[in-house]
Amino acid sequence: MTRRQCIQVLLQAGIYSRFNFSNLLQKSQQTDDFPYYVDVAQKAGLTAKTVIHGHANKSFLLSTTGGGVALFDYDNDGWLDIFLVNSWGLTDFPEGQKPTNHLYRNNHDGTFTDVTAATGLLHSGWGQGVCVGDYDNDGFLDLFVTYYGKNVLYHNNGDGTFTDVTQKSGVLQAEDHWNSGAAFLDYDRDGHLDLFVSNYLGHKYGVVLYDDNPSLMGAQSPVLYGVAGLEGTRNILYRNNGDGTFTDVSKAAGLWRPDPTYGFTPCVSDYDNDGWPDIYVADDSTPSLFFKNNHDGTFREMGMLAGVAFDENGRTQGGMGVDAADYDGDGFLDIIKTNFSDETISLYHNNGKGLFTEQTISAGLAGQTSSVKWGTGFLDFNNDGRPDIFIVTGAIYPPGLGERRAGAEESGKKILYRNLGNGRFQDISARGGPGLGVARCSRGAAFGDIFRSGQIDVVINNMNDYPTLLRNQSPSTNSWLLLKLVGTRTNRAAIGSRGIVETATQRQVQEVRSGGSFCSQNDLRLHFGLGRAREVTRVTIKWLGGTEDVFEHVPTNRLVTIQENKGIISQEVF
Amino acid sequence: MGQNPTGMSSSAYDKAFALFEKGQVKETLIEIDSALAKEPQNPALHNLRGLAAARLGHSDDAAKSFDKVIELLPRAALGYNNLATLHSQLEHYAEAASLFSKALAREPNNFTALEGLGATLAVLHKYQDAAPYLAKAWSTHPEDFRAGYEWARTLHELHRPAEAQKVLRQLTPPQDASLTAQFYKLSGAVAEQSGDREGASRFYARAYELAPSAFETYLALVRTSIGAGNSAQSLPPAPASLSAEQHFALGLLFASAGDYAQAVPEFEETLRMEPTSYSTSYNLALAYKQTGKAQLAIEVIERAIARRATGELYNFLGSLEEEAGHYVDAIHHYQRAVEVEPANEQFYFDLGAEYLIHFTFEPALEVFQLGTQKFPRSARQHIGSGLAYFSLRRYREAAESFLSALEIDPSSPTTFKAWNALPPFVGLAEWETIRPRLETLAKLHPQNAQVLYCYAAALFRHSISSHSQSALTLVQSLLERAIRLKPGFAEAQLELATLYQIRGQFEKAVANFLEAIRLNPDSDQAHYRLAQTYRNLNQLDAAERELVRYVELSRNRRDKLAQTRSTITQFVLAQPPSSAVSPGPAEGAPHR
Repeated sequence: MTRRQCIQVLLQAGIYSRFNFSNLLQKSQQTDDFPYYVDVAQKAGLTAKTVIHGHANKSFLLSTTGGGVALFDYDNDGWLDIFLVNSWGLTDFPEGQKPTNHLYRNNHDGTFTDVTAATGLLHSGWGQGVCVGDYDNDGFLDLFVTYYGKNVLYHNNGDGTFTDVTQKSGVLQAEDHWNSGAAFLDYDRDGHLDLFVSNYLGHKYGVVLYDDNPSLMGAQSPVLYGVAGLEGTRNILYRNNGDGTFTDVSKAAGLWRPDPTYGFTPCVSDYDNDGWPDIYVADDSTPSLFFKNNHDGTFREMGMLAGVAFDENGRTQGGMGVDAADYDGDGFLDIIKTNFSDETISLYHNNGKGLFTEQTISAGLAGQTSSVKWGTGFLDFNNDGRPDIFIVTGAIYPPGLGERRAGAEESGKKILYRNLGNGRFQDISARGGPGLGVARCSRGAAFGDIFRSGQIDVVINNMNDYPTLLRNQSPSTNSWLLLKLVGTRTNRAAIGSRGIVETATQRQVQEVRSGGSFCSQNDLRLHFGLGRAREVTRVTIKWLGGTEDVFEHVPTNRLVTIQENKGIISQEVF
Repeated sequence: MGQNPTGMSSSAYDKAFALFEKGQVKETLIEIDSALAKEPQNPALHNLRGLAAARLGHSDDAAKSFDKVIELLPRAALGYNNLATLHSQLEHYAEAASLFSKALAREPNNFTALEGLGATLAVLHKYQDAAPYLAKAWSTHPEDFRAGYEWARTLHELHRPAEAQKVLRQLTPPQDASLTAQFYKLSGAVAEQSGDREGASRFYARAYELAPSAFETYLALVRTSIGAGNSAQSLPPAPASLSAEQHFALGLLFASAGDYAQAVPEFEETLRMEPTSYSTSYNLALAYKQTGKAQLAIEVIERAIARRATGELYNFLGSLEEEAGHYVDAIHHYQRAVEVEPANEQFYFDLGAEYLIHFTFEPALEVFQLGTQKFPRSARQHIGSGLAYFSLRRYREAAESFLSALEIDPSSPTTFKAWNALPPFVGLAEWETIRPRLETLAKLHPQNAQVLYCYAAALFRHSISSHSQSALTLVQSLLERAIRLKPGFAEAQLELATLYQIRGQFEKAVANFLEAIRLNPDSDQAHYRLAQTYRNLNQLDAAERELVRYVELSRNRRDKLAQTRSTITQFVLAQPPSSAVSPGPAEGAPHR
């Protein structure tokens, strides 16, 4: 037995020990402070693999990316459905076995049905990312899928089917791109959702050979030479013309002013609280970009000055995934960014006015560095009103690409940080339930209350593997509130609008966001943990268009739907 | 000393002297002995007899005669001088010096005694002692070539080339070609000593013209000519029929000057004459390597190994195979070097470094682990081990290895660089392991700024993570002490500035960042942090200026990194041979 095999055996033994211990915990000592995540994907019917057929002994960068996942209610039944982006291979697949994206409809009983074909979403190719928004304000969420190749925009027909409107809408790309993340946003606040698409490398680099020295096969440690030195790309901004079509305004909007980067995930938020959406893009090995909205249809990139382009020492990082939330309750949205292995994650604290200071070390988030970290999100797993942090990881090359990669799957753990409420976080990855202990090569992760339990669940897209569906089975006694916002003057999905929830002891701010995590889409509804509060003192909705609705004494533990200028139009108690 | 110096002339003496002058030495002796029978107390006759006997090689007889002179003229320098000269010819320099001193005691201004004593002391390498006598001798007879030559030679030996040149300029070389050659050779040596290689080369060339078989002069001519930047092609031919040793010496000279193309034929000729010569094989291979003939070098070393397998040759062969791109063969030979000479630290290092350079980290780790066991006091074995751990992403072990190196050699810049290469998070995760060692190290070396900095930097990150204000205060104190101990310590200055920045003392931070930048204007990190601090002070224009500078510098840094391939390569290439054990000659240096 080699040393590495020996280590693997020991690790496996450790994992099994932890699993048993967690079971005991659930029965006897489970507290509100720790979730109990269990992977229920297979049982729930998420049975299709995300496929990447690489090469047995050659490394291509194309095999490393992709894996977006979306949580959204495509049929407006009040239950979250799951869309998983699939990938492709360097060799063709037999007819009938071609990998396709998958849409799973929520059956309301803890299971899902694969409705991909029935909804018209069968599509093969090097899928990368996904985002959701109602671009035509018809009340049904549309779907945008990015590709290594050409992106696809699906219009939700409102009858349980989708139509590919890529060409008709004007977002069909003339040339192939290596598109990555995407997000709908209403950057000009005209009530029509525009579309931002980040790009990774130039298309030709997807199949550039990254072969290791053949003479060293078997002896040399796997070395990925990485993207450094390759030609970067620029991001794309499509303006919604209001008639179901889009116009590429990237250059005019100022998106091409910065040097090319290796873009992954956009995270759109109003970072300076001026009422206009700004765009932050997590970039790999290049400065992450921060486009501040100038309120005139243009943006100014100011990532370096804002302090979010690099780490605190000015070093570029392998930025992958990103999310934004007000983790310390000061009313400004902070940023969490996942990075490559041997790098910490980045927690950028918003000082106000859109300027940030990195607080990773002082927040206690510098400990997990061994893995490549991808999808991430602020989520309140214990409903204590303090956003916690969830991160998925995965080896740079997925397993199954050939024998050479067989031993490379040494990462893939899930990382969970509990917000301690004092600006610091505690790593509770080992105490988050058995679902966190199983290593998978993960990419995208999406967060939302999938089972209508008032708690946040997680769906994860794993490379060359089946998806993970982490159901939070912890018996939390804390209160919560789920807000669904419906815009009228503002875009219908209310993307960019804010919910401010106040209890006797807390004030929380959240924003409806398209895109994020790693090239993925979280539930558009806003989930607020409320601790021991039995009612919400005040709910303030700041619609992106500038209007404001205020509601007082809102009861807890329910889904409340609020329509712009109409108020609360429905409440559902779970 | 041949003329009658006693003033006691006689016809017999005159007749004997005439015969002596004609070179009829035996007849001279017969005549003198006959005269002495009549005049047994005549010192002149005894003196001449001593000279004749000396010329015939009858040293004992000559000495007796000079002793008799001393007996008859005890207050005169004559007898002492001639007896001293006789001893000098017999290479009894201590006796000669003593006798010349006695002569000087009797006649303090006696030129022969002055010159003789000075020259004899010079032969005994007592140049300081010789100097006053020769100076005085030359001042009394500045026309005397020998006195001037000896004085100039002594000045040269005393590293007083300007004075030596002054003396030499006043000398007129005699007609004798050999003496003139010596004169020019000495002139060349003096010019070389004063740094005038071009002038030295000209003097040596004159000397070599006059004595074309003088190999030593030719060697000096080659040395100065190459040193002056002249082409080796402009040199006259070497003396004919050189020995193997002389060819080897010439080869070494060319090789040492970096003219490996000229060295190759010399070493080839040496090896032809001495086909089993170990040193010649080594140097010829080295010269082949340097002239791009790696395959020939490999063949020479392989033949040498067949005759005598040494670790040094295997190690060299490893480097040749590496250069030829034969990585696996290189590893094999480096491995053999270690097997053949397991006590040689250099060979362990080279083997480990070879693995490191080619990113084969696990074997590298095995080698360096063994290296640290066998050579626990070799800091670079620990650094190599640390780099292997680092590359395998085993940061705790990397930190411990670097710490071991730091404990062995706390002032080593390489160790300092390696320690600083550790990612910031290492200190956090491994804090409980490294803290006691760093603390102990800082106590052991309270005056070592580098050690204080390493401790402070690790403690800094930990105190930020743990929100420990008392630890931050200690960090500040350590950094301030490091800066006091080593003014101009840019890394410590930057760390101190960062400390102020994190504490929100932005004005102080700015001042310290500016100082860090003054000490190291190329620090992109300092410019970036300064920009962020200006930003926090709402001085946005200043912040933008710093960011512009940051962008320039970070681009340069990336370019440099790309050129040097990796920190590992820099480390390996920067390592001198270990002094901890007795290594072979450093690869790349001629083998004498």
